Amino acid sequence: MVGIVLVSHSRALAEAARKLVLAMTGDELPLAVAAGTGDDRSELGTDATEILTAIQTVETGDGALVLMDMGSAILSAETALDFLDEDQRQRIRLCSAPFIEGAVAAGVSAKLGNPLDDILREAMGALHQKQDHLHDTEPTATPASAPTPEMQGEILTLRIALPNPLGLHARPAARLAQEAAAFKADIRLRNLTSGKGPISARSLTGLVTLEARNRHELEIAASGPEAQAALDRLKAFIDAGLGDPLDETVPAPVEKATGPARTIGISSGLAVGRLFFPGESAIEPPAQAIEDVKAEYKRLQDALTQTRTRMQQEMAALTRQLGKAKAEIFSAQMLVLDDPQLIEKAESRMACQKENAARAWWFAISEAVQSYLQLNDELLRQRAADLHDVGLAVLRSLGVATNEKIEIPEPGLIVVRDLTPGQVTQLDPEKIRGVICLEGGKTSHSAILLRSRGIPAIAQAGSLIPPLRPSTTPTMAIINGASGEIQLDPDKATLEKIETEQAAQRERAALEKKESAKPAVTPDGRHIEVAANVGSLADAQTAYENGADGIGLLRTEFLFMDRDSAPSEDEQTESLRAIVEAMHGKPVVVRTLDAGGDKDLPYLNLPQEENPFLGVRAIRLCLRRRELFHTQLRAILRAATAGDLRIMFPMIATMGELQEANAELAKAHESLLAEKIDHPWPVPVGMMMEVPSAAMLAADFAPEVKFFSIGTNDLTQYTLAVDRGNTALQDLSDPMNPAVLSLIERIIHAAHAHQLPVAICGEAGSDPACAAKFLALGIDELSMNPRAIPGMKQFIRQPAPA
Amino acid sequence: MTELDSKSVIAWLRLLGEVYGQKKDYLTDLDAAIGDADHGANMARGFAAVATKLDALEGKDIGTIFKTAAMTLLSTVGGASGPLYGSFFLQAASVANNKNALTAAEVGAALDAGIKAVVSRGKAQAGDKTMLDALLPALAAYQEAVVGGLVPGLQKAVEAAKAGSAATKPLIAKKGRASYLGERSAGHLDPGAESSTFLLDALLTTASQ
Ligand SMILES: Nc1ncnc2c1ncn2[C@@H]1O[C@H](COP(=O)(O)OP(=O)(O)O)[C@@H](O)[C@H]1O
Ligand SMILES: [Mg+2]
Repeated sequence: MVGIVLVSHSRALAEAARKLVLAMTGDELPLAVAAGTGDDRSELGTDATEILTAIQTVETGDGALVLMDMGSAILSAETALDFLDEDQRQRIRLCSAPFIEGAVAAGVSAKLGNPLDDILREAMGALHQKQDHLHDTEPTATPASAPTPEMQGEILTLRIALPNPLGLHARPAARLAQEAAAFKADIRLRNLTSGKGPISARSLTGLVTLEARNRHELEIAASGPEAQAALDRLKAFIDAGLGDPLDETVPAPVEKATGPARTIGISSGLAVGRLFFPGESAIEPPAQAIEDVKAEYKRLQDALTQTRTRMQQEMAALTRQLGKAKAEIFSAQMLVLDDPQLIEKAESRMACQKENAARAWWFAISEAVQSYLQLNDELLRQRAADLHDVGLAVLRSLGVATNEKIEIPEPGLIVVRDLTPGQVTQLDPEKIRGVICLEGGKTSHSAILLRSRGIPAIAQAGSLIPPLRPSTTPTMAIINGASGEIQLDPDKATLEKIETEQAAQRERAALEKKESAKPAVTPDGRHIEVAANVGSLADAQTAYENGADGIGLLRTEFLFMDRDSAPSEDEQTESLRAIVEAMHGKPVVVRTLDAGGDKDLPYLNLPQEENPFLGVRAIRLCLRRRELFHTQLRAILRAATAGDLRIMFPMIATMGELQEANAELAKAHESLLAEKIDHPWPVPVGMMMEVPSAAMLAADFAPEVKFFSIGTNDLTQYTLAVDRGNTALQDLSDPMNPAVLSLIERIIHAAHAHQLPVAICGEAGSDPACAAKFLALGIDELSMNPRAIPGMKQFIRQPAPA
Repeated sequence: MTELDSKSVIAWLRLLGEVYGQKKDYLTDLDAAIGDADHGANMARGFAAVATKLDALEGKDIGTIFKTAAMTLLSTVGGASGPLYGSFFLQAASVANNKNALTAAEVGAALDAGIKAVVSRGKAQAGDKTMLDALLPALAAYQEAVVGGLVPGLQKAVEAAKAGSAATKPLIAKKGRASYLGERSAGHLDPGAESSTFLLDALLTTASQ
């Protein structure tokens, strides 16, 4: 049940209010009082620590509503919230409702088991009854925006609960808008739980401002020729999670350990340097009034079209570079360009205020950005930057200069309110050592891009560095993008220490990098291949630059994730070929699709399984979805013309599976042959060693393949029967466990008896302690995150410590 | 003195206990004119409570001392000045973490952090007839004069605080309880501006010894 906290200057008043409420609800209501000051709380005043305790007593997971009388009560309550952890703070509402009426209304609603925001609404409306009776209310202001036109014709409606754990944030909202736009129907949505809406289902901004969270009830109304079809489709689509995984969880922000300022780390890495405040160049499109409104409408439409085309091109380029999931950020952004609410707003400014297209558009965007920023939902607030970003792109198409690129005169850290994804892609990592965002969060698109660009960053530093007078603002800082810690104006000693450390590290890294193209040979003369695990073209490029001896594991899942249907053979061929080419003739081990388990592909409609890791995943899935497998194998064979490509099957548990997979490969080869499509044959085939049964039978498998690659993560999980995602079992999940090591030894022994090379492609391979052990066991190759390669090569070259 | 060490910080807080004890009636009278006649009592209660914690803080770093003062003020002052001064010391603590002495510049940073916390907690601006009318000019003056050292910086700060506080007299209160009085709040000094001036004045006294 939602809890209620009454905060008053007067203990007597609060106690009396408590009595009034409990008289209506009975004693089970979790209600706490924080009131009065002085030793026996008989004096007038409030106490932030008492409020904190009160909140923690009544809030047990469903949230709490805090009612306050005035003045210090409000300030103390806000102060108390600062001491709650982020998670719990999200579940607290400070409510401006009248103290007595609000408390009674909230108490009654809470007792009924209503959710927090319903109770808040009840409390806020608590004066209505009294006002109705006394007829003394001021007329309420008429809403600023004109009401949306009534729906025409027969209206069909439907109610549905939103299954998405993260709520209706920008990406699913974008997909919903896209679906809705495909029907000849006027579709409106209302969030019955929050009371927001109705809005047009085609309006992304509208959808987002519904603030629909997990399990909120939505009402969809549709009219028009395809109303029924639209409702059916939307129902199915929403039930299936709008293209989002239904087991997604909110990433927990990494909070700074101590201190009231809660900066959070959003992109890991240590950075130190001078602070620069590039500021926000306020964008002010020219004020020029217009005469021909129609012509101006058209200018806006043209600009929108042009922007769409350009963004599509950028997206295609990014998909190739960063993978589909990251590029999809831009597809969510693109929907802004079709948002009827924004366009209507801009058009009405042109028609009524005679504003030019740029100014009118910017007004609409700025207003929408503001309304995003005021939302309660942190995830949604972070989307404001996306909106801003697209708004700017359109302005540029309208010929307005929007100098957005952030440049600083010398290497250092930048302090910004927030960055747009577009700005992140333009940052120069040579100069910009780190980013301090005053707002922002871990899940923002900019944060995702910062991480993939390897630029350390922290967010939510607003309380530490308000952009005040230059004379009072700090000039230097050290940030830790992993822990979120920031140290402003560190003293000389700390600074020097960090700088020497960093210089040494840079020097070491530079040296390692310089040597990275050379082979890694152990002091006793063994040549170890150090290869890369790769999941995108960008990864492959990084791998090559970091001296990878090849790609030891190409995860093909990236081709299949975050999309509505499986990629075509041509698309797969092209992406694979680009990666093979990026390696300039070095070997590339392509692992066939490893979906299922924790990696769901919605369009495959995989059945829910009780134990997905023990279910139909990887090769088991491919052998049950032969067309999917066939297409992939053909694409892989075709891409093999581009260089030294090898094929690897994941999750082989039995000899039968390997034989079937090989038979499929042969079929793919024959079909290509029949169509006279160029491809090399035979192509070396290897298998993953990650299921204990395969490891036990390594000696039987060895004659059948050309190489083994050990996936230590899964091998450990399956050997020790420990779910690798279960944080409670972290210490059991140890690849150095003797049972795992003994299986590895067995695999190596069997392989070497047949002159097969054995690789390790699990995370453990990049950990020096584990790597040393694997080397001692006789491993031939280590495959790892591309950035770890130069360091690992150096490590291999050094004599092992006695 | 060129640095403010943890001993002086404790001496400062102890002195504040005495100062607010002596000024209790004065501040309460000011609050009686435009508020609810409790500011003197609030400050005296809060800093007396802080004083009882000081012996145990001997030898601790300044961040810890400030933090303890902050938590004590939050729970004992009672009025709006509780969360405001509490937030002041809490944020000042974040600058002083693990430090046993603050340079003149660090004192500036601590004041800056503390005052920003008052701004963000109370959402008042210069001219709203609040403690900020003393604190903001004091901070600006300090930052300007601090090149000359800690004491000269504080001297300028106190001068500016006094002037700022005196200038609250004709203002109409926009924040806090006095704002309920509207125009009738003009013609009286703001009690919070006066208590802030005492706070800085005591710091100057301590640093000058
Ligand atoms: N929102 C605010 N921002 C800054 N200072 C404030 C604010 N509200 C009140 N004050 C300061 O607090 C002083 C009053 O403190 P006090 O009497 O202890 O609290 P209360 O007003 O709750 O009785 C005022 O004189 C003013 O300087
Ligand atoms: Mg008062």
